[in-house]
Amino acid sequence: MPANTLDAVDSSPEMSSNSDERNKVLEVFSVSMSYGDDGPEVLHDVSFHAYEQEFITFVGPSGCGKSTLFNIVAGLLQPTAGSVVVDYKETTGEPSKNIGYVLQKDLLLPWRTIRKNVMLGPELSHSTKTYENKVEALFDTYHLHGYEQSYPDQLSGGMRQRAALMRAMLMEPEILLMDEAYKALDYPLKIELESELLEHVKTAKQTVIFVTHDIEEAVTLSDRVYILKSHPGEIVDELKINLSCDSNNINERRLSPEFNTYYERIWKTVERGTK
Amino acid sequence: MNRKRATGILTLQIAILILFLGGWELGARYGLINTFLFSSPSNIVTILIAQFHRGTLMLNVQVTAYETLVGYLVGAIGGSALGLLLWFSRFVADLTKPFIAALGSIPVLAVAPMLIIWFGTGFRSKVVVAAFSCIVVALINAYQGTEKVDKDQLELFRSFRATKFQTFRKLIIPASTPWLMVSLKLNVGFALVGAIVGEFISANAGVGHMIVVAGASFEIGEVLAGIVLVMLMVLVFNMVIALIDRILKHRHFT
Repeated sequence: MPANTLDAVDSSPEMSSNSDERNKVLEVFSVSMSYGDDGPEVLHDVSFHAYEQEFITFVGPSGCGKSTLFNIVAGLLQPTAGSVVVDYKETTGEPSKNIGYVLQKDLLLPWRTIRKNVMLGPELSHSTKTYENKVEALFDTYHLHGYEQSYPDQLSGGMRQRAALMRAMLMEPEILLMDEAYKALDYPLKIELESELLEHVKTAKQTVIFVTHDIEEAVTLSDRVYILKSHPGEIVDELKINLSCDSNNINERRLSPEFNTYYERIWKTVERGTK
Repeated sequence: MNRKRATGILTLQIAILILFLGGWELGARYGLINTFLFSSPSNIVTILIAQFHRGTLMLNVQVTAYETLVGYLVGAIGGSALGLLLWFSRFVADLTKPFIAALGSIPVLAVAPMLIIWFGTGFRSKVVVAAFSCIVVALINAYQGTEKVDKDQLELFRSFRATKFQTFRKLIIPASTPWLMVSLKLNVGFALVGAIVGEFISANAGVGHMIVVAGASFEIGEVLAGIVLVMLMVLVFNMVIALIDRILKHRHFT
């Protein structure tokens, strides 16, 4: 398939956003980040947005500041310049209750049962009662029924990652941030969990900001992909993904005829960004 | 295979112990070992039995155990609590670091005579000496434990907008438990050394007192009987700590 058939959008996010009337649940304006007074710039003038129920992926080479950007969006890191707006409210440098958070490390607390790990959010916000019933259903949906009273070290890697996702999903955040969440898993399991993820976020009507270095993951999961270059991290391209496949099954999405063209386009841009 | 190896090692350890005690006993009986200087295992046992019948054994053990226990609770538990609390303020932690290190460098033997003058010759001074010998180790270990907590887990708590107190209670304390347990085990010995050092300087009862009196009258058998008692006390304390450790490892404490 020739590249011009792709639904590439203008690399200026502000311009491309004007044409869409959906709600912007996340907007990031001109974020730059340097560590220390004279430290090198890790991120330079990054602006982007995410619409409600959109699956956005950031892809780029190592050193492109993906994880820094992730922490800034999560409100865990104060950028040197720029601002983060969640649901039309500025949240720069402070975690928002509308954002859930999943990392490559599952971060399950080894001294807590899986149920208590999943219930961490409600427990910390003193709303355990509100989520008591919901958590039961969640264990069914995520195929972890029967493991409520198990401890993290009694579960496999995939089950632990599912529990980590449940912990983030239980509080029904509007936006789900995921940083290389499935990097450590073997391929078939990764595919399985990614398919489940698509299913879950579409059912829950959530927006996902996914950070990865894996182009295949970016193409099969996303509605839109931002490509970053490194040193400093900067958005060099934005690409709308439109696979002719409605299924949430990653293997089926992978077989879409457009897959390779998107893959190649991203790969070339990433390659240019590393040079 | 590992189990076989462990059994083998245990058998060898018991054999070495029997050989050591047997050789000592036989050497003493056949005049190869000077019993005035080294006594003999059977003599030590006889002394312990006699003391038990007189009631002095239990009294001495009780006095030392009580001093050690209270000193341990004040020093090891109090020190651990202070070390954990330092997590709340990195400023205070950095500020006090050299003073804590200086305090930790003082040998208990050097400071004990002064503590006896300050706190008298009774129970209280032994407790203070025992507490002094373990407080710094406990404090440093606990603080190190808090510093080793996974930064990503801290971020996770921040992302859930946990308060500092919630993070302390639900993350810092449980995550530091392995460090606390190491220091709690280590400090059993330190607290006992502290109590005995206190008794060496001034006391009228206790295992340390028994050792120092026996030593002054060249009763090596009694000195060694005292050492055996100290070893047995450390063993019992360690078993109690191991039991607590096992309970905590069941992880139902948060």
